[in-house]
Amino acid sequence: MLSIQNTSFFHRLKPVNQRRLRVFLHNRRASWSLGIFIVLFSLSLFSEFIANDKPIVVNYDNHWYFPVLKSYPETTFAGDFDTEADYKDPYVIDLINTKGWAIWPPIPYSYDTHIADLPKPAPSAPSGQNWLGTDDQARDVMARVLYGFRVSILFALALTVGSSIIGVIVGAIQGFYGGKIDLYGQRLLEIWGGLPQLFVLIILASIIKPNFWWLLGIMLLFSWTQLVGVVRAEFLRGRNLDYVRAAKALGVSDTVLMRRHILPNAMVATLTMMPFILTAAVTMLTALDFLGFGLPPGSASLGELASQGKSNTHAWWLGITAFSVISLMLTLLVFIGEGVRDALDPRLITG
Amino acid sequence: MVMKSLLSVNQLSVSFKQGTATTNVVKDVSFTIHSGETLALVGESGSGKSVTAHSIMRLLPYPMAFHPSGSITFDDQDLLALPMKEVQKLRSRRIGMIFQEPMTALNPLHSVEKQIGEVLKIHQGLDHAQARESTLELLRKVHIEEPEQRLSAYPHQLSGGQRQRVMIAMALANEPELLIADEPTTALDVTVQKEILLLLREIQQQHQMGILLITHDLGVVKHFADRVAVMNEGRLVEIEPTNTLFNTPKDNYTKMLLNSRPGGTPVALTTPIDTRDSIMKTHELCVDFVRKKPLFGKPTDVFHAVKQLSIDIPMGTTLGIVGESGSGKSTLALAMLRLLHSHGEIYYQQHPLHSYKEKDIKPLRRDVQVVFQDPFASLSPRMSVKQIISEGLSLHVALTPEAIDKKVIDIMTEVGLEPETRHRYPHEFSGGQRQRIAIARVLILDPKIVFLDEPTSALDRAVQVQVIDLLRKLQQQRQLSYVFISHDVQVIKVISHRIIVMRHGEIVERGDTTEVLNTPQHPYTQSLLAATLQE
Repeated sequence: MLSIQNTSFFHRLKPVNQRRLRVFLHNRRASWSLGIFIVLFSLSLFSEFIANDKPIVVNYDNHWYFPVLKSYPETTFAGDFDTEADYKDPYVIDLINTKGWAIWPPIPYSYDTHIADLPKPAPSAPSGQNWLGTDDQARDVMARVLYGFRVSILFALALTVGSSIIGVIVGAIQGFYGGKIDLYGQRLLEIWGGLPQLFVLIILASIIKPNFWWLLGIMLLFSWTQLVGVVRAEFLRGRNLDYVRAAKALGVSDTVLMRRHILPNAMVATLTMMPFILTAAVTMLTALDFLGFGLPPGSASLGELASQGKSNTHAWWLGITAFSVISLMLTLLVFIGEGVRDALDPRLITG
Repeated sequence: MVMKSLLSVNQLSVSFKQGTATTNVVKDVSFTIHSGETLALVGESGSGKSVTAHSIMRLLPYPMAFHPSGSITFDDQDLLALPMKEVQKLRSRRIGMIFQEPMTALNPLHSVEKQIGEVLKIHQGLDHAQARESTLELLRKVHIEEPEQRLSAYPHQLSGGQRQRVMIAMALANEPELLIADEPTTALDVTVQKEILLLLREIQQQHQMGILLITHDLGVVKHFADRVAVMNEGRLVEIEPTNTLFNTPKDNYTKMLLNSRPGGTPVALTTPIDTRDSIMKTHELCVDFVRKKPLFGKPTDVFHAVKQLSIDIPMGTTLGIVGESGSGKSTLALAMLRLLHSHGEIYYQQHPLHSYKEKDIKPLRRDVQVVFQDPFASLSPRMSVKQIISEGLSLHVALTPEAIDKKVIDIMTEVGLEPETRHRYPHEFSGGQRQRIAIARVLILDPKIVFLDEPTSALDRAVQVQVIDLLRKLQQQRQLSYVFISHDVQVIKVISHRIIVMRHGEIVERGDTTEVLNTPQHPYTQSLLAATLQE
């Protein structure tokens, strides 16, 4: 990992950022965590090619087909129906095998595949077929973990980016203009922060049917406030810096002042907090899913797996899997966060 | 007179490690201090004088800092080899220290009594009542008025001079044999500076204390040091008794240091100052800061920083504003630049700025410019020099990138910077170069009047001279008008045609520079001039 220091990318960075990157890479726990996290996250981005109930490639009658990417009707393979082929159906498998072949993903189940031919009643223990066993609806746990991990991270990333953008803008305006705007802004934030987030979510969940985007929107309503305080403080300090005053005397407009002169200072504080907002978002989504107020039923979700583990205590693999995956993910994120925080700290003494 | 050697520093070196790079900050420095003697450690910023002093107290950021060689002997013990526990015992009990900035060196959450009493309790094992008694004693010794009332005061309730007295009282609490004073008066006004230095000398004579005085102010050195050690780039270049050093300096660097004092006269005017039109003037300008205000209604506590000031700046001349900290001189400048809210009238030529909105002022901003005191704070650390210098230009005129580049190169040459360095970042430049960048940023707009807010105070003596010379040259060539704000009478004398003396937001005296400085009328001006330590 340290070889990045010899790349042209590294030398194009400003010296201060070079130092930060060096400190981060020097922190072995953080850089290893980042490496493992990147590998896991990239793998989960290609979940469709790793765990799916459709073959990756089909060669039939000397034609190439890619069922993962495109849906083909059963008639393509000389079947009876115009609907999409069910590649798990022994009849369709036979049809394909007579005139060609298919390559299957390593895990031949998707997150929502109900496995019909389980040798034991669901939930079944881990076996050669189902590496982490199946849940109480006869779905492969490994496939669900893979998809669930992806949803968690994507959700958390979207929430973090969204709340950072709003938080930075609001904090910047409050801090830069100060006075009345700041005073009323702070009071509003206090009232807003007092709203019970969970109850609002439960009430809203009974009115609308929450999906990924609804959930993101509702959580965004409350999570944007986290960064406002930090950014506001940086801007309150920054607006009185000599170079900001000097730029103002040159006639630089307020938005440019904020963006070009003060924001770079506030970014360090923001970046330090971001990994921790990310972990908080992961935990929040898992908790909501666990309680049943999260993603719609049937979605791949780690919280739902944990709640299955709770209701099926005899199926030890459910609870253990959910626990290990969530704790691994959070541990990686916290280690990365700590590394970022230390790398951005100019007072840290490096040996 | 035979004196006992109190502290001896032998072949001391200090290096800093950052990543893989190592910088040698102090190189083979040796000196001794005797009881009852004041040794001044003099040098420009970055010469390693503070680092040397901090090594004695082992206050450097170890393990980033380390000593490749040398020893510091105090009472037959090598301080560099002592375990940290032993050093802590020596600190404050036998070696005291006072710092430059008394506001940050005192804990803002502790009262004076607690602040000083803590030292006594830790090191002398006194109980509460005894500590209180001793604290009062110390406060009397450092001549704080009404010491009983001051016991419960917090640092922010004290003036700068009082805070420095409390610091000294703390350092003296255990009657140390050696006192390290790191720029003890640099942050103070001149009238206070003299009092503090006299106090230190008085206490020194009572206790036969050795003092290591770190300063860059040669006036202070001349009046208060017995011997002087001159440092340059981490090396000790000369160490002599004060009179010898000032009269017959041997080393070239010392000679340069002694000779670099602002000299010359303000730019000669071709037409009399009285016949010139005014470029900028104010009429009854007031700046108020609200200290306390109920949620609704009128403020209940208002601080008047500038009180009904009317000033007038003739075109092409320099108006010097002298005053101590808190006199409202910087506030006045910010208000005239319309960077602070104010009442009263401000005119730039025929424009009534006080009634203009920000968008009306914007086109005039290029004519009225400002240079700030601290060149380290006034340049954005994240922009390259070219970006900094050209920022204002792109706001006021539409130019092609090539034309902008050419203008930047021209202006950098004019202020004495290497144009090749324009893609670098401010931290790669020295203080004097940075101040030149700040001046270039202003000049590229071709302004008519420039406010200079203590433009030389953060700079070393030799650099001050260069900046003053540059400013005078530019005034001559471009017919610029300046408002030059400074607390340093020596600097203001060589550039200003007229001066005003400010105190508590009011003008106490105004007139032609030579007239005011040679025959001051107001008692305050007289005391200000009397307190200035002549070199």
